[in-house]
Amino acid sequence: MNDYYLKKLAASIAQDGEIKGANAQRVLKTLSLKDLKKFLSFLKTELLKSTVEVSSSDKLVAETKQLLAKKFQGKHLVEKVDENLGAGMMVKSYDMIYDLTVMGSIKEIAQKIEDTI
Amino acid sequence: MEILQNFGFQPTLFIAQIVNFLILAYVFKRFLYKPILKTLKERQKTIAKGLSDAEDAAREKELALSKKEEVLNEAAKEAEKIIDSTKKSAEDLKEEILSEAKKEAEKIITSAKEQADIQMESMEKRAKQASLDNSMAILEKALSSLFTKEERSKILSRSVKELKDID
Repeated sequence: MNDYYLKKLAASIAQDGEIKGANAQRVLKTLSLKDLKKFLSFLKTELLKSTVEVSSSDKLVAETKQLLAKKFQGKHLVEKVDENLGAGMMVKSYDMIYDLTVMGSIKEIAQKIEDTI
Repeated sequence: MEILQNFGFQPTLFIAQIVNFLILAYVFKRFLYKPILKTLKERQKTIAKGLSDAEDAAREKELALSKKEEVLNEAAKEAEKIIDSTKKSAEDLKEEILSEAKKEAEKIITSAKEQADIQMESMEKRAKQASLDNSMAILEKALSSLFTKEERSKILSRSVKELKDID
């Protein structure tokens, strides 16, 4: 199977943010070891692309969740609570990071100080 | 004649004595005088030769002495020259070694100074970094209890608004 179809397959399987049993069986039975390796690599990327990780110091309220689901439509939201962030929210979506936390702001300031040392 | 007879002079004896004398003179001359003279002449020649040889030897000795003196003088001059040259070479070498040593010492000092500067700079950087890291660690620990629930909620709302405005 060529890379294009492997990518397509990985994207369709990763749509829900998880691999369903039937799909997993099909993939394991039909792909060669070499293609399976490639497929897993593509799947990892696709899963990362289709997942949005939201970290905050408190649990998100329903209103915020709705808002985030609207903004990142079609993507699977993973919520994390991290008290060390101080306050605010950090969103990771594949290769994009939106750090809107107090800790993030402090780290930014620290980085600026470090650069001037 | 009478007087001669009074003194016992006998002419025959006299003539015989003359003849005797002449014979003796001839014999002496023939067998004694000539060989002696020959021997004397040979001896004189040998002595003369010896003297001449001695003179030659003395002259040669004088010449040899003079030559020796000359050679010694030359050797002394040569030795002096060699000593001077060696002294000069040694001086030059000494100067060169001193100069090299000075240069090497300067290089070592410069390098050590540079190393010290680099180390100092690195230490300063590390101290600053450690201070920053410590501050961050303290801040991180304190951050969880720094804001009230209300403040956290307000900041979160502001973050959501900021996120909405992105794109």
